[in-house]
Amino acid sequence: MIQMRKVSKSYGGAVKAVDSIDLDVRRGEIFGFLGPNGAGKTTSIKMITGILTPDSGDILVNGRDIRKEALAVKRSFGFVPDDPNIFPRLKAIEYLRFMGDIYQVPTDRRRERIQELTERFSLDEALTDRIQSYSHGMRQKLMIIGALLHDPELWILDEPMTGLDPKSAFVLKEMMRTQADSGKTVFFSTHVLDVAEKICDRVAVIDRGRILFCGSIGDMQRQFRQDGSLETMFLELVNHSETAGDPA
Amino acid sequence: MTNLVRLAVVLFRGSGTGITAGSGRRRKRSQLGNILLFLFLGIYMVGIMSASSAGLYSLLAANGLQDLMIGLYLSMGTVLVFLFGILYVISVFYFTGDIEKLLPLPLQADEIIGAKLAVTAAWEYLYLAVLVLPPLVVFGILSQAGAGYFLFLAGVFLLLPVVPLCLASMLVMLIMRFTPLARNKDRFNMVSGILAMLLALGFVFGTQSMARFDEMDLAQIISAGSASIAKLTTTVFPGTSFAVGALTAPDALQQLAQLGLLLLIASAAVLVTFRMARLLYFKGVVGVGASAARRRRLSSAELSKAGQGGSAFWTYWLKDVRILIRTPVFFMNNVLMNFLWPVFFVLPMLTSAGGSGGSGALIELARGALADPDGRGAALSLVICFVIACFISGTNGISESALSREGETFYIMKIIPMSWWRQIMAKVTAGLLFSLAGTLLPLVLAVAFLRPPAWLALGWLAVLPGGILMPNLGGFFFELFWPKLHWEHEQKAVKQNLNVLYGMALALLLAALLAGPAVALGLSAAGTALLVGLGSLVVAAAEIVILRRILPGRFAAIEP
Ligand SMILES: Nc1ncnc2c1ncn2[C@@H]1O[C@H](COP(=O)(O)OP(=O)(O)OP(=O)(O)O)[C@@H](O)[C@H]1O
Ligand SMILES: [Mg+2]
Repeated sequence: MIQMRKVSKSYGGAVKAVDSIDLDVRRGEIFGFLGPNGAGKTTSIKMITGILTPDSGDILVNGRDIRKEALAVKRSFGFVPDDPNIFPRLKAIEYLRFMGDIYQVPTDRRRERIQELTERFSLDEALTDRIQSYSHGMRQKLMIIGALLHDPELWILDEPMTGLDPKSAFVLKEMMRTQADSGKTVFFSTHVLDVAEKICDRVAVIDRGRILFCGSIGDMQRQFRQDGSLETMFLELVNHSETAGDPA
Repeated sequence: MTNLVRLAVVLFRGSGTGITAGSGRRRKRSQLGNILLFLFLGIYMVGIMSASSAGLYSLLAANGLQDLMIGLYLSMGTVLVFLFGILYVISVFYFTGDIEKLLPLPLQADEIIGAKLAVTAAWEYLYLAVLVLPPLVVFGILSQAGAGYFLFLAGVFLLLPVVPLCLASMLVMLIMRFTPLARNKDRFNMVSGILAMLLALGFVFGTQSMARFDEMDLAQIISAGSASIAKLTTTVFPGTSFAVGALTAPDALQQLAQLGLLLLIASAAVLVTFRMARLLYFKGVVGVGASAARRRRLSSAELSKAGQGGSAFWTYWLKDVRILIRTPVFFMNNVLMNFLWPVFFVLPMLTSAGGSGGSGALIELARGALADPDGRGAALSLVICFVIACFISGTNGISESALSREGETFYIMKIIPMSWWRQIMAKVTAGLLFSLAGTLLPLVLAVAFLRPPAWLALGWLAVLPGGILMPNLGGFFFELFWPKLHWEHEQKAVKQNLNVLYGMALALLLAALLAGPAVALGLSAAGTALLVGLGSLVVAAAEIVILRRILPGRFAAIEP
């Protein structure tokens, strides 16, 4: 579903935020993207969604290059950024209508989706209010609803769990599962290793712009020849890369 | 008092238009460029105001009415300061980002207000220096006034804005403190802005109807001198009549007395404003920026309305228009501004003329000049109409800040499945809407008062499309290169955004390039309409071609 080939990106300076990474996300799986702060997760996601242009390398979404078939690629995914920045002066319902029109969601389908999603995320009582009056978590939920309104075949979520209350986080995890089971694909980044361990089919660990590991949790345990938790293995991976990668 | 001064200095540094942005060598170069740009804009406006006032002088002097000019321009200046004052005071006192930082500091309300007033006043002086001072200097030169006139002019210039600015502040503080608007911010910005405009209109028309009470004929006006006219036009703003007196009284002693009275009334205004600030400001400012949440379920009617599909283009356009109208800073700076210029330019003209003989004579003169298809008047009116369209479209800053206004939400433009070109066009169309509305207002007033022949009114309409399209398309150009996306407060996107200035300069330059030759060549009305009307459409078409060409590359390069 997503293929990254030798993708690099630096922000003007010498440090590469993403350093020649290769990544394959398969159709129908929940793929977790893990790594410490500043590892390059958000940067990678921004390149996949077309917000940033890679310095070098290729990215294919569903076999298409976003630089060549921009609209088709953009229609195929729904994206929720790490910072829930949406138009604060719009009312929530106006925002959803905006997204529905932009993604050309048919009328009856749209009504159904809005009702269903807002109820599941308990936003149905606040739809006529300005987004300005929303809390951080409410904004995040609204963004999730907006991104899923057109029922995309690929979900791209940047740290979707931060800021969500336990019930909403549970709903989201449940939705990710049913989504993947129905043949769609979920790609998300997270710091919460417990979540990753429980719901991901496969994970990748990135640090300082390089992929340290990519595979299922079982693969990781085989590689480490131990039955450790994801947390211990993750810490070991990252510590190891720190001592190995330090030039000094 | 020292707190006040310190604060003013800090606020002033932060309120620039970003002239000192950038760093290192690039900073020096861009600074120089920006200063040149300011000079260009300043000289351009000074040139227009001087030339038009010199024209007015000769027109009036032919009838011995030249003294009217002083009252006219001083009342224009007063209205200008008052209207801008309302807009500035609302946004600077109540809606800027620094307020949340200032409130917790141990400062008195009048210290904050004083500092903010000083910053606002600086901008007002700038406007006055460009728009009102040149005509008064021209008057001094043409009427061969002595050094005394210019000395008193300096005093009047310094004191003139004080009273209207203080009145504007008091009015706003009262509105913010005592109306339910201040509690329900949802409607506040629209209502108060429109209220302020209506109030100003009411003032102006009120004075006009007062003028109707004493029907004087031309001869009487001349004999009564400009003082009587000035009194009529300036009843609303105590002080302006003293300002007029300081420039027109028969001898220096009386002039000095008038200036003294002006100083007295200005000081009183400042004192009252400060006292009022202590009583009202903190109570009005707390809670600004909050938005009322009602938390109610959507009715099924609302839901089915929201579920209805619409065109992506118009939905996108509607989103931009909504944000423009609902964000106080955008509403004040970009939306109301369209309607403010017409009020400023047209109404004082009509009032100081209005009802009484003086204006009647002026309007008669103008009507005569416009009726002749081969005369200069008709051709000139087409040029003026075109320049006004360019001016309003170029100064409202809507297309000029189309990307910057997105701020942190800019990334949405990149991820939604709508081509960048269509998004940009939707944004420019929002600019077109407000430019058109802003241009039609003075046009309708002009048609109502000047009653041009039908062919000329149609000619005015014919030069509008180009006059509106050209600046809006050209103004957007700079946003593709230097969008200002990282701001905490909306103010930075529209007021402290150099792209707005660049766009304005380009609009005025293009307008001058088309209108200049039309005037210089002495073209007939038909020729003028053809040159500026068609010429601007050709320029607009060229702008579209260029924008389309550079858009994909430039847009991809903007990385939020
Ligand atoms: N706008 C930017 N300008 C310059 N450098 C940036 C920018 N955004 C990110 N970086 C740098 O790029 C690197 C990768 O950042 P990125 O945001 O991709 O990390 P992340 O894995 O998402 O981290 P986190 O878990 O904290 O969200 C970091 O070293 C960061 O400092
Ligand atoms: Mg991140």
